[in-house]
Amino acid sequence: MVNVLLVDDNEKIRKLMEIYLKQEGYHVLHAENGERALEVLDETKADLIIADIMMPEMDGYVLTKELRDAQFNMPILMVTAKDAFIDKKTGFGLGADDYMTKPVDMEELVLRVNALLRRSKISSDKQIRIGDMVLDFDSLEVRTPSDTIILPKKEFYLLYKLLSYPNKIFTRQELMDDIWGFDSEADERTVDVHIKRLREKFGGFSEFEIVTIRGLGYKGVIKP
Amino acid sequence: MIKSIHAKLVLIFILIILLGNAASSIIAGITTESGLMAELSSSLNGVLSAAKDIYEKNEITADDIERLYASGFISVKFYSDINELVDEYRLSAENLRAAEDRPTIFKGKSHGRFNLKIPISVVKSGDMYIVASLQGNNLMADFRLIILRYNLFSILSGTIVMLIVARLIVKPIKELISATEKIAKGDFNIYIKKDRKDEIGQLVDNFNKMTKELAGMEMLRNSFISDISHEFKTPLTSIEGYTKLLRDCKSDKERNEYIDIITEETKRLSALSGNILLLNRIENENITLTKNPFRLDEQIRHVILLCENKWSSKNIDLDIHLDEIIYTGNEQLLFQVWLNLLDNAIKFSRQDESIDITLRKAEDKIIFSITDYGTGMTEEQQKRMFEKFYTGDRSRNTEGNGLGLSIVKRVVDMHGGRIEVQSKLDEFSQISILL
Repeated sequence: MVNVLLVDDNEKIRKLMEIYLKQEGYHVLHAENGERALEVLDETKADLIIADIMMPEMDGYVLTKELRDAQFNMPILMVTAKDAFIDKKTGFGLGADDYMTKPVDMEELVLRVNALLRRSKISSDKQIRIGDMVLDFDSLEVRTPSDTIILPKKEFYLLYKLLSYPNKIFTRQELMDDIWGFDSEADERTVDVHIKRLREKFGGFSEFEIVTIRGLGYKGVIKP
Repeated sequence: MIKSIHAKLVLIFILIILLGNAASSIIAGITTESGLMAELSSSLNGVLSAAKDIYEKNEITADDIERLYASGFISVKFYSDINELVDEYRLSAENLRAAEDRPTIFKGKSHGRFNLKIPISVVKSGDMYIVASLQGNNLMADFRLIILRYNLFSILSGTIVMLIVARLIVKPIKELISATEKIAKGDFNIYIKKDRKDEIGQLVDNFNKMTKELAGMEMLRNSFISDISHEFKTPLTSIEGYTKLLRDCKSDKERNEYIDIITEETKRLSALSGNILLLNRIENENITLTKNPFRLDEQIRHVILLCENKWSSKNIDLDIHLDEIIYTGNEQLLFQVWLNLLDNAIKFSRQDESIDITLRKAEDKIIFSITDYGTGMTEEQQKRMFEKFYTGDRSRNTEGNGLGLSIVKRVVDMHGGRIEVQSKLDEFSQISILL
């Protein structure tokens, strides 16, 4: 069972989130502020935390910092009315994984929780499973029951990134910054070249596909 | 303490005049008076020696000589009795001995208000004492009085002039005071007439500019607040109404309809509060617009990705041509510009239509343009599209709250850019931003 801890001083909001999250099959824990959240975590394990920022006693920033300092590395999703850029920056800086501003669309919240948990599993397992196919981050291998392909570092990271966030479109620049680094001499065509090579290598695979979105970039699509 | 500038100015001025006049009259008095007295003494002596010579020649009698000088400035008198002379001028017989050989100056009688002693000249001739004195008027004696009168007059006239001038100097300050009092009470309809170009004139000028700005802001705020409260109350009313209907609703079809309306109105409220916060931030940013260089094409790509849900659910075909361009501006606010424009384009597109998005450099301008082939706009709508709270068609139940494009305009203005709109009803709308 997956535990989601809700930290918000508004009971109605917590109840609303609980209804949506329960429909998705998650088990929900409640805390009305940061202090209470730490108490709950002493007794129960949480796989994900949804925290408000503005709360009495201990706010969301302090809670996030305390948790990260104590080596808790479950995903933290901040949900708050504070929508200035600086607030987001502070939140991410302290170790939040995602940020949503109120008013929050509950369906989107659920989608994000799903994505965060999937990514958290990917990062703790260090592998991605798609059907019978496994991408192993440590060995840079793509394994299927019939075959094992070892990829050059950059190609593997590129594929891993695209398949970690299936259906999400990445611009060339984002992929560049993420895989080659900000200061890299390589230009965006390098991304195209690597995508081309990946397509050549995995053209025969039925598990996934790399799709070009004209004018925008690429996305990884997992085939049903 | 004297509190008004007017009184202070006048007082200071009077003090300055008093001091100046006192000094000048003392100096003038001493120098002019001693000069005059010396001049007079030598004239007296001269006249007296001449009279003595003539008299001693015995060709003309003492009476005749007296008569001869009777109508001049200086009169000559003969005294046969020394006591008479001593009495008249309060001299001592002792002193008179000095006048035996040659004309000698003595202090004369007191004259005028200041008891100025006008000198006389005395000489002895035979048994007679001849006395030359200033003809019996107070011309010399009034000398000091004249200076005093002159000073008093100058103080008086100076003070009167100063009272008027100081009033003129202080007048605009007094007007400013009463104007600021009015502003403090919330009345911004003030204009101070300006008829001078000095520092106070500049102050008045700037003050007028300030009140005009304040009045504009106040008007904007008032209409804004009334617009906002209207925009808030309308969806709240329908939410409240439909929620109540929902309680007693029996048919599923109606219930779903009410729920859809409530959801839509809630979204409208969400968008509204978000936009109001943004507008507030823009107003604050306007004071100090922070700018930094960034990749404009990449930013637009991110905006397109953010709206992916919306365009993909309508199956809209995007035709995207974005040249690589680095621009220096406020990243956050410009993000909102592209977001609002794309949001509109999607909103006014129908299912399966397409949207063109281009970014290119032309000479020294950066041109962004977004074209949708949806509902288009009438001329009236094109004219008013940037007004706050204007939504093209009130009767149509679209999501917007009429703030999006006014935010776009505001931000583009802040970056010194221009907006061009081309549209035809039911054909297309093209909005171009030139930076």
